[in-house]
Amino acid sequence: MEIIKSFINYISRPTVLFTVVLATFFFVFPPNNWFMKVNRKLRIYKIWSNKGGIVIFSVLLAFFLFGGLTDHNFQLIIFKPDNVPIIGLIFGVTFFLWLGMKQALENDERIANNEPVDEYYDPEDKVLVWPDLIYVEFIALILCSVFLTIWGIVLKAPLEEPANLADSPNPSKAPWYFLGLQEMLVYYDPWLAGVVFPTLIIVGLMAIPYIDLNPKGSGYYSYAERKAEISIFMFGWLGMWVILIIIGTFLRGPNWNFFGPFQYWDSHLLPALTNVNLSEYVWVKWLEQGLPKNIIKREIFGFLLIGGYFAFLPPILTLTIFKKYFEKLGTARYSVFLVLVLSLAALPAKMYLRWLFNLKYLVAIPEYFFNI
Amino acid sequence: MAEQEERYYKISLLNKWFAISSIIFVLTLLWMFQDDYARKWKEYQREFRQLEVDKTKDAYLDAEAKLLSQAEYAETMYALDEAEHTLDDKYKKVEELKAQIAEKEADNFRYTSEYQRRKSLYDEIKYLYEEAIAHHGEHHNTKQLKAEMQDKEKKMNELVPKMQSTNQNLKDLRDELKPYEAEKKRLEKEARALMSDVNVLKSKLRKVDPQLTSIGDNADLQNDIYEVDKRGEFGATIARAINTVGNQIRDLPVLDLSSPYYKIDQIVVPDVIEDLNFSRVPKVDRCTTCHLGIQRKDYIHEDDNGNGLLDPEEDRNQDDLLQTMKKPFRAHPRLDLFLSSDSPHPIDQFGCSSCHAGRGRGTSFSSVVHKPSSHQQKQEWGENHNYPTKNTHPDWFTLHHWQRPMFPTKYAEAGCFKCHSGESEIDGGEKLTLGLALIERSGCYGCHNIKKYEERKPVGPSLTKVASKIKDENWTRNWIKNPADFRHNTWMPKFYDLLNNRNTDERNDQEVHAITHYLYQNSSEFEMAEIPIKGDAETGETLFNALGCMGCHQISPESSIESTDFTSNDTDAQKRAKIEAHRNTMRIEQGPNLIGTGVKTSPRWVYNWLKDPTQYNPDTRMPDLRLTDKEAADLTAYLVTLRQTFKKTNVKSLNKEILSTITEEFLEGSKSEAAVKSEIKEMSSDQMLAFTGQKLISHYGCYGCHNIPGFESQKPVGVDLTYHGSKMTKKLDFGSVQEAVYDQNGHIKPKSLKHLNHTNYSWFRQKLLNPRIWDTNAIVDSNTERIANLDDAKVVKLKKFTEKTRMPNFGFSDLETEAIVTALLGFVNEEALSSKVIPRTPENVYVERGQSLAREYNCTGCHLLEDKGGSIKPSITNWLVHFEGRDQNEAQAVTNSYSPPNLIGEGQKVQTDWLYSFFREPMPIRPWLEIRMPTFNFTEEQVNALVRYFSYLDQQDFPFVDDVKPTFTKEEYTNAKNLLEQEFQCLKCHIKGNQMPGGSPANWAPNLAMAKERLKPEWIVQWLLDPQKLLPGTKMPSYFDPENLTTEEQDQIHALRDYILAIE
Repeated sequence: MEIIKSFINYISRPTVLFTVVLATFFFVFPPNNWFMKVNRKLRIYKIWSNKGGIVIFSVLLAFFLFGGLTDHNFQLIIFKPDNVPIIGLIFGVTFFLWLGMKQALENDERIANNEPVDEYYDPEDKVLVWPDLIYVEFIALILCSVFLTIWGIVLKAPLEEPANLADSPNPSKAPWYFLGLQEMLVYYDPWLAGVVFPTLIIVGLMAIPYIDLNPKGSGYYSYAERKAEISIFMFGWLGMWVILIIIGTFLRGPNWNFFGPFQYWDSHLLPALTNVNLSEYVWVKWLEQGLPKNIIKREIFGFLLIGGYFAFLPPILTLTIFKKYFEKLGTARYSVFLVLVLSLAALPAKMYLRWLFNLKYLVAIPEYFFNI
Repeated sequence: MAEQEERYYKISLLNKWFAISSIIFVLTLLWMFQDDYARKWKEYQREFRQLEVDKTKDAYLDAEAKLLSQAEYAETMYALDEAEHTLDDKYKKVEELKAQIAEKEADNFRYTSEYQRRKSLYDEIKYLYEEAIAHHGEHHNTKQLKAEMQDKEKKMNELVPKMQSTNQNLKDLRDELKPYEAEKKRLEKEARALMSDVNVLKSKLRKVDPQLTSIGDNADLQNDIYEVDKRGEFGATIARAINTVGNQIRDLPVLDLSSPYYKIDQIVVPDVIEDLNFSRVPKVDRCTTCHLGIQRKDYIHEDDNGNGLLDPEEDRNQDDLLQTMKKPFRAHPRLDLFLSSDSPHPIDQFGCSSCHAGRGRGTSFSSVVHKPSSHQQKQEWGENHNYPTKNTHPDWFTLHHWQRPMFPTKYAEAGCFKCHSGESEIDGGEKLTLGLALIERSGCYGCHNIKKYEERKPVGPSLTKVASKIKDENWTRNWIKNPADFRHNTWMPKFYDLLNNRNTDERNDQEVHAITHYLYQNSSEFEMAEIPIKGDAETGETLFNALGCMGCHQISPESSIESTDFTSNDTDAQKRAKIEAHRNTMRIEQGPNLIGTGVKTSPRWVYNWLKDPTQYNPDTRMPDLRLTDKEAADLTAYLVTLRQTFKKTNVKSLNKEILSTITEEFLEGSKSEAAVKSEIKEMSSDQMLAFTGQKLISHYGCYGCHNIPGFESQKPVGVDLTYHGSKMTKKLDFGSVQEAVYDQNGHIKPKSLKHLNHTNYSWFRQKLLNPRIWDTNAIVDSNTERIANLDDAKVVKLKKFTEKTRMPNFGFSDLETEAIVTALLGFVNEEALSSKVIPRTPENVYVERGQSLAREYNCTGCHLLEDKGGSIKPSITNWLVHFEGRDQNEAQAVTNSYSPPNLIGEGQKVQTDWLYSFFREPMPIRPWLEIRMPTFNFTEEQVNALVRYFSYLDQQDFPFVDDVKPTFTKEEYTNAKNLLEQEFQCLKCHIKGNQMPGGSPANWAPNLAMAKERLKPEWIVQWLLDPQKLLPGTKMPSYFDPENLTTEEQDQIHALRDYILAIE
């Protein structure tokens, strides 16, 4: 029992967890034909079948039952009233993901066999609204009300004590839907993680319909016809948002330290976290001299690195893996697309830099509150 | 209509779905109503109602029985009956009168209404006429109006005589009827008065028990309660039905919004503001929703009642109902001080949570942040209230972050301090008072700044001249290492052999060497006079017992504190008694226990100290007893025969090697390693001792309690405790200390081991019991709240010597710990509302200052003051038995006569000037007493404060102006003298000038010649009138009956007073 727990605690460490997710992600959601081939070969797509669904849910359920029944620390986390909806979210997201993927794969098969997709209907035909749709909606409404009422009775609202400036809760957590943002704040300065990135997320989501020129897959589920689109979106949604919420909810404890799901949240735990700026790495550690007085000179390597990221990566990407997109999208759309993709990739990049090198900031100018 | 086959779903199937989900929805809604309706507090109210029904029924039956057995009642009822009969006899006449009255009333009404109508017509015209005159002057139109007006006036006035006559008629008739009914009315009123108790109980019973289930099938009683004789059979049935049904309806769900029986009861105290950090709201307490009997005298529980609130008979006969009732229904144990409207803390002005803390707005057990007093209570609550224990899952509504959780009952008195911080004796806050007394006695304020005690002198003896007092350095070393080994009840705490230094004994010994070295090296010379006469130890012992030394010092080789410690099944009343007993012990242990005086110091020092304590230590609280040389020599001879010494402590000899490592540690702080090495090499042992000695005294903060040369302006070592009760619990370091439940064999119960409960009071308690605990892995027994693995606990925190916890161990008992924790919890950073505190008038401020001085100088060790103290009395009895040869019973009977006087009413009694000079230079008032009032080394401010204290305590003006200067004719003088000497025989007991009374000194009374200077004339009058009232239990006989005082007696009293005041 303890061995299982410590194993789960081990793989829950963000480095391991995140690396595993990154490493397997594109095999599960293949963005191109090569990944697709591997996916087929390893039969990963089978997880979107009925049997696969049963396995996924059994594993999830088994995990929560195992933890919920045997571990006091895990109980404390999952039964915290704020967290109950997030457990619902884990099951909900998994279920709808599975459902959507299952339908998409089924449609792919139909398309391959030149059959009409499941959602196909004759445009000449009519849609029955009354009473068919309305009646079903009405029944759904009643059942939803029942569900919410029972939830309201059984799980009392988690109202807390009046806020106190001198005594903030530890850990002090954002509402669950903002935990991804709070997690980003660990790696980036507030102006980036709290202002620029959220803006980019919203702008990016709005831009999707204009960037995405693939006419297929409209009105029906299909994976094969929209591999890259789905894969990239899923990476942003699951890999960069849902995972961060889960990490923020279950794995971040007092002082925002990492804890495994079966670990006691010890507020006195002292992990060694001495983060160093890039400028200090270069000037002090490698060149063995003091930091230059001139801010520009001091931070020049950070500027160069970031400049390089946005200046050299695009041509390289354009000439290699994104070649097809450049041709398809045209310069304007492609540029927007690339900025969004690079920004999206900047988060895991910074995360790894932090984990591997204890890197604090690439550019650190606290004099002007400008840190990257 | 679409055809059937065009449907996506079968409509009949959808209908079924719709039906099922709707039913589920309705059920869910019902569940919601039920969940909202069935609140826990309603259960309490229902239960309490049942209690009320039973109590009311009993009370009603008792009252009814009592009423019926009352002769007066029977008489009144008989007379009432008679009156009714008489009235019946005159029935015809009465009826006739009534008919006439009715007729006249009709006439009267007719005339009056017609008059009103005509008057309104007249008024209308009158208005028009007035207007016309005002605007048009006299002309044709106005004339017409005037005529019309006069006509109306005439018509109106026609009716006046008729009205007057009918009015008169009516009055006459009514007057005629009156006597017929008057007697009956009077009797009815009398009967109502007699029955009022019963009627109140009846109506209460109708309210709490509308169906009268408690009465059973007794139809007579039921009829009586619904007042069949008044309402009639039918009326009573209807009333009962309406009452029964109405009672149920108004408590139904939804309908209960109007006027339900079961409802949340709240007290709003608008001027007490609850600070929620971002908003400030008035205090709202809903505690009385469940604590329903809290204000009710008839719900006082025996266990709580240690202060005679109930009359003894009622107290003893508490019925099963009260014995078994649930805790929330019990009354507040001190209704004389709290809640009731005539107490100093009425509930509507103070609420509950202003003192008890907690969240007053809550209406469920855990949302009000109750806190358990003990592990046992916690378990109990876990079972009854879903309070989080190890075995039940934490309740979501346990407000972990609520800033002021409720004080556990055992610490409840902490709430008093916020407003009563100036006082030293807090009525009803006996445990808090003990805690404050302990803080003062232990000298906590020496190391921890506490605002209340900023002006206080250090608590330990001065060490500036220690070398002259204690010649034996070895004794001093042993004492520093383990003071309790020499004197079991010393207040000097233990610094060594504690949890975090008991394994470094070698080092400890070297530290002791260093400290001692510093003290002796810096000690200055004390010039002592030779003892002029050889003393006699036996006489000395008698003197020690007789002079009053035992008001402050004991010679007790055995500890007595254990006997007053709490046990787990003490009731509140028993605890209070133990606290009082402990206070008494503390009073007579004000100064050190004198065992071992002969070992510790020299006879010469003792002699010089006794002659004048301030010579050795100008700051001492030891008073001067004005001893003659012989007395001092005798006492010295006796005291040096006390030779108890150390039993096991032995400090090892100096070890340079260890000493140099200690020196190194202290040097390291400021210098490089190489510099330290070279410096150490050059240091001699003496230099090292001097250096480390100074550092160690500074480290341990010895100067907090003792005057030590070189540390005069050093800051205290401990944390500030002024607002310690408000310090956030998370800022207290609980280290690795754990707690566990132990079974009877001393094994930890499975799964019970966990971190020590994170509350400030559990931290305070452990800190006080074992100050060094936080460096170790100790496990606290949840039941006893004491370390269970005391012998095995190891130091687990890796700290440098200077980082280690350093507070010494005072060896507090459970009772003492509880009291000090109570006081600490009370030290909160909250402003007391000026409308709630005792007004800051000079009078009250001086009373508080006086109380504080009285405690500092231990006045209550000898005197009874504000009903407290007089702790010396047992030693007086002892003296009478062992040195005066009385037998035990006799000694007890006369103890009061040989004891220092009771100071009740002192301010009313004595003149201010006299009191002042008495403090400065006491003179014997009762020359037959062996015991003597010592001369205290008071400052001017202190004497003035004490004099004012006595005046203001008795609501006297200050300073009192005395203007009675008696003048006599010769005859008056002789008469007065005669009264005093012959009639009242005053001189049988009282001394007059040099004239001593006969008989045993036990019956003597103060010298009348002193009265002129000493007593207030008005007091003499009151005293002669009723001595027992001024000084309950006095021997002074009462000659007069204050209730029925004749003029002659009044004159006698004044003559006596004048004569007394004229005695030269």
